[in-house]
Amino acid sequence: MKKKRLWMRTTILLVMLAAIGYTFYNHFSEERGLVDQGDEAPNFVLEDMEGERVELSDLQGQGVYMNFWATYCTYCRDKMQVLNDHYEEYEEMGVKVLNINVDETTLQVERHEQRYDLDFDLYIDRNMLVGNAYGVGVLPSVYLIDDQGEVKERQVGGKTEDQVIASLDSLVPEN
Amino acid sequence: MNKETCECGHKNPYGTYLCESCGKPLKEDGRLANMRYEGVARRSQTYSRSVIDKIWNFFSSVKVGIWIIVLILLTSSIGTLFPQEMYIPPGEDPALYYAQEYGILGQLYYDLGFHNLYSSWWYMLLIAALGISLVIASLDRFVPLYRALKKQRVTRHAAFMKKQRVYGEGISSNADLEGVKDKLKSKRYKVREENGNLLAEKGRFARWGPYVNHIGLIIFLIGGMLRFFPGMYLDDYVWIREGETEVISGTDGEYFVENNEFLVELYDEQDEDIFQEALMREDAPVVSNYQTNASLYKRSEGGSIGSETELEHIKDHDIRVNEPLTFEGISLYQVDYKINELSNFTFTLESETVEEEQLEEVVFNVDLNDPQMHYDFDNGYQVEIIEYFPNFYVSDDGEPMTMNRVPDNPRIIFEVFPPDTDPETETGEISMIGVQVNEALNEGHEHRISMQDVELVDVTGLTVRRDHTLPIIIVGGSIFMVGLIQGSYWHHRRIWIQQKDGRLLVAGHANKNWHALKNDIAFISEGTNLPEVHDQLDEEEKIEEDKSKMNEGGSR
Amino acid sequence: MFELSSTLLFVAFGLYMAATIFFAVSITGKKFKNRRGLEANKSGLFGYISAVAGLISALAYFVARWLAVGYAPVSNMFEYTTALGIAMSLAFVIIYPIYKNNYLGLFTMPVVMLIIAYASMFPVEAQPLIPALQSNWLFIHVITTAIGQGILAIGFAAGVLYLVRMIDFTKASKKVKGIEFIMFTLLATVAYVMIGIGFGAADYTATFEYVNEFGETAEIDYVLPPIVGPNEGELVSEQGFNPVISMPEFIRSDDVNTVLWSVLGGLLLYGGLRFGFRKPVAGALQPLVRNVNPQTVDEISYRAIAIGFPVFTLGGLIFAMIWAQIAWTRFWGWDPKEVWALITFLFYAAYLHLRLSRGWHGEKSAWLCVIGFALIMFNLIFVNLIIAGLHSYA
Repeated sequence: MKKKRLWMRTTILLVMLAAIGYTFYNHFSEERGLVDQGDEAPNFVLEDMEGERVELSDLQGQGVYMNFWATYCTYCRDKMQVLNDHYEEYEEMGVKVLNINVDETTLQVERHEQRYDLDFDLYIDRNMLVGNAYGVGVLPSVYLIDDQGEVKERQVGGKTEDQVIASLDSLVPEN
Repeated sequence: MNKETCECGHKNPYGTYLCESCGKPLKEDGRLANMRYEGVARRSQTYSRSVIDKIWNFFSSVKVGIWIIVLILLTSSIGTLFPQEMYIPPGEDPALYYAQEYGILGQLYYDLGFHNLYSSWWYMLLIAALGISLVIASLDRFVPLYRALKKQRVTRHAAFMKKQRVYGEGISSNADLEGVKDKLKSKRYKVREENGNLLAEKGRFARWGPYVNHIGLIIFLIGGMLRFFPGMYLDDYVWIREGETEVISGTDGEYFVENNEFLVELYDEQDEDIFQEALMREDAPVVSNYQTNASLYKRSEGGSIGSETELEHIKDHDIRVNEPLTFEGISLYQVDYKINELSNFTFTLESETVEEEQLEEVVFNVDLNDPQMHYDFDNGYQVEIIEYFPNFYVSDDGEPMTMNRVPDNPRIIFEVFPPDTDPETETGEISMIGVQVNEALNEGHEHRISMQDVELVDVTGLTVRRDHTLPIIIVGGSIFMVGLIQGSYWHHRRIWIQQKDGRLLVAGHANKNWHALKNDIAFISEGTNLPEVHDQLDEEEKIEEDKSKMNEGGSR
Repeated sequence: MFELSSTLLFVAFGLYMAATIFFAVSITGKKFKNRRGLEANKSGLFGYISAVAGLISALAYFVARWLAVGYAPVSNMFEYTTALGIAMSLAFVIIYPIYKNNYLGLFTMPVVMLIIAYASMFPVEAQPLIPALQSNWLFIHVITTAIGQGILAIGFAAGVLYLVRMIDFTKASKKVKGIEFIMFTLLATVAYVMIGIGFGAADYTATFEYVNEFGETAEIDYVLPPIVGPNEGELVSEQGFNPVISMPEFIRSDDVNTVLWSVLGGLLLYGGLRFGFRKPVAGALQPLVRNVNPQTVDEISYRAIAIGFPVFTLGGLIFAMIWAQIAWTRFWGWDPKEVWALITFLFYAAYLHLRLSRGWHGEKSAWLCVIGFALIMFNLIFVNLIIAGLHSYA
């Protein structure tokens, strides 16, 4: 009788404590993105400046470094400089770098490309359709997608050259 | 734990005030019986062995509960002293704003974290403590009270009767108990009889009111807690220019909304006859309506996200304040707007050296949300846009930049090539154009770009909201209200009539509304020769008052 | 229709006044019960009839104004405060038949009058509704809240009655100071209304040029003679005189001036009464209420709270949340007015727990009723006028 009572009380208290603890964890831990680590990356289609189409599902088997950027974002500019230096060697190793602009005008994107001598393809996410599906808020936002189409990591904010290279390395498919 | 055996033979748990069976007071305290929770032993007070028991007992105490309520009440009021962070003007840095606006107190307010008081860990802990207290205190009291009321006996101990607040006694022989029973029934009392003793009871279900409303509150708090769980709550914002379509976040890119038109309507000082006086007194015009004429679209089945999306029209709705557009649990609310955002510039060229006719056809449009790169004219003129900054500023390094993609302060750098220049090899006339800005950036200009026309567009700001916790909140709130009404507008009343040694004892108890109970007893006593009853609390007061008066008299 | 509504409210005020007088006669008249007992009993009935007539007239005002302006007249300070006064008289009309207590009438009716008089100090003209208020929830939410608060206000009246009856005025004590403070507050409100009406009738305005908080020169109108003036103020109107002291720029000097006038007026009234009676003002009332049964009054105050609390919760929290979800996109947003409604709710919840579980009856309970009403008035006046928020419509 007494044991049962103690057991009951303990259970009730623990349940309440767990619920409150989980609430606090959610409230005070960094917010999880709409698409985040472990999720399957939603498929999308985008066109580059020449109208060349890319579909994420076609990139199965490659790692994808998906970088949301804007011309007015200084961290993006630094990061894209690094990417521009390294994207070719990683393309050979099976890592595709996708630079996705968050719906700025074509003119701005092209002038940006010229001004900073960017060699890779630039994609514009018209109406922020892809950005919304991925829950992009702060720029730069990077999604590392592995060769199985699963999100390995979500990165928000500026990164150093070493960090960018480490991220690219982590995307190289194993075989 | 020791049981306490009453003289009627019933074994009561330790800590019992009134015998569960016959009602005999087991503890001497005061002239009147303690009828709270029917005098049963509240279990939490009786055992406190382990840590768990101690925690349990802490939260079970009403005293602790009241303290939690008072703490929430006091801390909540602090948060209204100055505005919370979410209510300070947008774009203000809270670290500076509070000190600037409210001085040292404001700084202190910010430093102590009161600018975000209601989501601070300690405030949330207080609410959590209230929730725990609600669960435990209710459990602890409901079970014993339910048992006590369920198995209460008709025949009570004489001491129980005498200790009731409303009590009277007299000779039993001449009372008309049958008449009493009829009268009680006519007042809708449930009457039970045992050996010539009566127990009349009414409105017992009111006793469950507090527990029902506590359950409602607990459900409500659970709903509030779920708000913090992933996916339960969506709070987003979308700006849409007139004529544009935007995706609605939180719908996996499935739904889109188009702004067909945005309106702000004002009250007219001229024709609003009854409001005229008030309108004249206001400095600014009073708005009567904000409205977005919106269309809702859905992405066609099977298509993937991105540039190949096709849309299907679902419905039209005029979104106003108080009239959100709702679909699939998502609501779009009219919350903000921007009138007259720049959208289109029309330019021509002017020159003192070139004939006007030459320049007549050189008219070019710049869509500020999608500018063209080149403008070629038949007469050989070429205009190129070198740079475009929708929201221009000069960075700390002295570099021209844009702050974002909204054309609030657009600057365009044009290069004009007159017919005789070769764009491939030569440099044209470069100038920077903006609102009230026209700067030549190199030498030897023969042409001047002039702005002919400006097109403006209105932008609506909609909040996108989805709240999966609403059904739980509604259920909790409704149960709370039902419990509150059940406990407040009905009253549990009991009347005991008992024969003992040729005397007739009458006692009454009400959990509230003694006035009605006394009226009921007066009604059943009429013509039935029941002994007169007295309010023993009144008598007690009187005695005390007399006593204090005597003391006063004595001291003088 | 609009003029008619004003007239009806004026008539209602007169009838509430009549009710007060009848109730006063019914109480003082009891002394001659032996000689003229019947008549004395009847004036209580007349008082109640007057109160009912006043309520009918006030409701007619409400309906007439509703028809005239096209929305439930509860949208600004004048309209809401008036509605609160009417709600309190409604609660009284409902509760009186249960207890038939003339003392309650004597303590309730003046409060009703005071609330309505205070309301009329705000701009009374019809104001157009801003978009956020254009909803049926305006009347559902606000009227329910007003009725709830009106019933809770009866708890206040009964609480004060209890305190006047029970406190020992022969010795100076905190309790005496407390009840005297309540009396002073009521008198200061009376003074505020009288001064406002007086100078309003005289069409008084003093205009100052002053330097405001942004360092700019601005103009400010005083409707009461300027005891305290604005920052670096300079009198530009014919009426008025140079103020005794100037306020710093971040304080609304005309409001401070009004408060100062009310306090001074209140002190004058209070001092006069105190001097006249040669004892505490509430103590002077005590002999009038000697025959009150404290148990009954205690029960009335408790029942008023028990009846009013669910109504207030329904109107002030539940309906408020439903409307907030529709108009403001979320049912709860920690707006100051919302928070103060929650505080009022928590306060009365604490009251009920203290009473039911901790046995706080009688005097403690009466004090809590007084504090609860103070919270309601604080939420109405200070939160609306001083703390900025979404509810600042007036």
